[in-house]
Amino acid sequence: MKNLVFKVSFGTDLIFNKEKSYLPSTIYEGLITNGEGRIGTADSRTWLNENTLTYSKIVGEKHNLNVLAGYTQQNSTKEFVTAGSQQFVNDLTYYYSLQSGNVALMPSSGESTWALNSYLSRVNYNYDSKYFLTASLRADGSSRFGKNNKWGYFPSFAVAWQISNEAFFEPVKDVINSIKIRTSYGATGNQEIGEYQSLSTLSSVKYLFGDQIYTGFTPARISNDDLGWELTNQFDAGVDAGFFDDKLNLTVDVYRKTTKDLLLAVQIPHTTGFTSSLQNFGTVQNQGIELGINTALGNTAFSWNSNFNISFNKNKIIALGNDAEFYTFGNYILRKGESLGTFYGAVTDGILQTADIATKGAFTGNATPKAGDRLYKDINGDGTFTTAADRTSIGDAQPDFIFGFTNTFTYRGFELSALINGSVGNKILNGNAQALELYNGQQNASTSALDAWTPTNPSTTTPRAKLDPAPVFSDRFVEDGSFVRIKNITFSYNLPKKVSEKLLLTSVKFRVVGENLFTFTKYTGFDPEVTNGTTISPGTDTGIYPASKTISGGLIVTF
Amino acid sequence: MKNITLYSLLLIFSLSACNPLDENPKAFIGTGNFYNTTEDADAAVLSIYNAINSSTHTLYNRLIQISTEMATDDYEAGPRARNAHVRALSNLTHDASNDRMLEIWRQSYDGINRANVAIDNIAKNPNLNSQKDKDLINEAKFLRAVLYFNIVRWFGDVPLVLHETKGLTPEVLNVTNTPEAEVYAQIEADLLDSEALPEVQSVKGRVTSGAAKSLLSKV
Repeated sequence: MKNLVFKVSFGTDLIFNKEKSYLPSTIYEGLITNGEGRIGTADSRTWLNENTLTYSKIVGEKHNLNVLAGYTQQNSTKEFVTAGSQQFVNDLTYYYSLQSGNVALMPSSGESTWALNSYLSRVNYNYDSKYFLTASLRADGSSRFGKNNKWGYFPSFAVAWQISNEAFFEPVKDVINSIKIRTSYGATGNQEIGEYQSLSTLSSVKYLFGDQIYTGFTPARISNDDLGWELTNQFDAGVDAGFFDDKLNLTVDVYRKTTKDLLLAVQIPHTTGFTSSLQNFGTVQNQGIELGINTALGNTAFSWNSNFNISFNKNKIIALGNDAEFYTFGNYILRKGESLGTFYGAVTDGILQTADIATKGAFTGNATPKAGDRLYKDINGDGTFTTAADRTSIGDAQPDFIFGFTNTFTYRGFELSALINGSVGNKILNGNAQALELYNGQQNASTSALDAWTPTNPSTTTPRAKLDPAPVFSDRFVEDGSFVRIKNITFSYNLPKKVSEKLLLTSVKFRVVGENLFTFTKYTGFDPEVTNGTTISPGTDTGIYPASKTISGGLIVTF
Repeated sequence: MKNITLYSLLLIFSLSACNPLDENPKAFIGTGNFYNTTEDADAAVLSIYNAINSSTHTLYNRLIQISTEMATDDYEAGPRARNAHVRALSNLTHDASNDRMLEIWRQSYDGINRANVAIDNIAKNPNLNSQKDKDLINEAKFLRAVLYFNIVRWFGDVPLVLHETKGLTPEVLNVTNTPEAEVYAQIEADLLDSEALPEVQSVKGRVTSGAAKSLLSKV
């Protein structure tokens, strides 16, 4: 059958990694161990086999049909081994002679394997390059999940209409040269967890009786046979349009993305003997609009290209596991109807002044309130403030919108390009400020300490300095993280071809690049863009090293 | 021609047997392959000792010492004690959010669970019935009793968990407090059992009948 193609492919990835290190006794890290050498290998072997059957046919010149069915399988094994020793007579042999060290370190080795099997099917159909239809269904089986839930099923469906290919569209083609409207639904899965996470394997632990080491074994987790795929369902509708011979391009998308059965390390009661367990937990929804505008203007001598994109996203927790209404997680709360990354803490209410000790002393959280202590709002209205009971949602780390804007100008050999990006409406937990505003005299303090409350400086914003402050997480440390940043400016000059050819060179380019030159923000931490945290705890700045402001120059010569 | 299609489809589906999805870790022992010999049982009991004293901030290293003494007038949080939770203990302003208290709670139940794992799995295996196996169960019972004796004195009513936690349903995970008197009754029962331990253990440092008798007298 001439329209049928059967394709079998087999591929493999072999990675051989060798790690060697030596900490000489002449540096601080190697001083105590008197030299430490280590050598090890970490190898991975992956193979992928794809078998597909494709049927394509054009019927009557206008019906284009393409059908695919297939089966793919993938398997990967990792192995590692390391050995090392310490206490060398001198630093001459590095890691090449571990037996020369006096103390052998415990060698270690490990192995892990994962497998993924997938059945695929897809139908593509288009009529006269005007109407497009795609439907697909795939089933994936992953070894990583529990024995009851290895398989996930992921359908998708998409239709599109290239309006500009219709005959009736011809009259307006000078203005709108192409326009396409499209909508799609698709399900995707996530299996990005480690191996053996559903199994109750044993971990080895050591204990010392006298001078003898003994090895014990204890379960590493509670087994979870139901651990399965994290599933994302996405609806999308959009328009792509090109104007004036593609000088202006516009893309608009609206989407709703619902992710359920999230793979999360869920806190469980410590009475189980464990602190957390990997489970499929909760449902999160993201919906929003994305807009992209590209322009390309000019001629061969002068041109201006720009690219602007902006996206508005709204994040919402639809359901939490075990029918819970909310969970607290450090400085965060996960509550139905609120966003991921909602901060949960106390609300500050000024500073306790000398005259108010009797009336407001109960709102400081201190057993013996003194003037200058910070006051907090009594959220639950029980007439006293306690850290645990008087917390509320105090902003979230999700931005209202983020944007990026790139402009590139060229004039003859010169090129100037600038990238501006920004985020608006997100809050950041300034963890560094929280640590620096303890004013306990035993560590560095923020300059705000200069305004600390004293009887002669009755501040209404900054508390007194004291030896044993109780660290209360409050809205004082949740700041507006909105920013606009000129992320990159590049200026370059290409030597004219005539000149470079005379120098027997293909091209010569001079370049100056400035990174992070200007940032406009009210955030008081080092860098509004650098925060750490996980999916459920985004937007915490623990004083991470900020993105540096750099200016670099370059000369690029191509021979 | 049709046959070729058929064969290729058959080939595709027959391949699925080549790549099994069952996980059989080579570098880890599964709980299903363990607790079969006296050596396995011994390793299960040894892991309880590890839970009560391994690194710096474990129960019988510094954790209990700091957390209890700091709240007395024997210890004061000096200028070098920068941890706010430790300072709170010293000032007696600590509450349920204190991380030292949380660690005591967590590590105690970690040890209790390890003891429950050892007791359950040794007892249910009919091949593990030598005197040594019985001693191991009693050793685990003693260690469980020590841990409950500690937390019942700190917290009063506590959940009395006496079997390995299996499963993740809310009914299994969420346990309720047991009245103090019942916890004490269990401690007493465990210690009475562990009095049957040998008077001298071949390895110095392991629990003996003398240890069980002295702790029982204190309880």
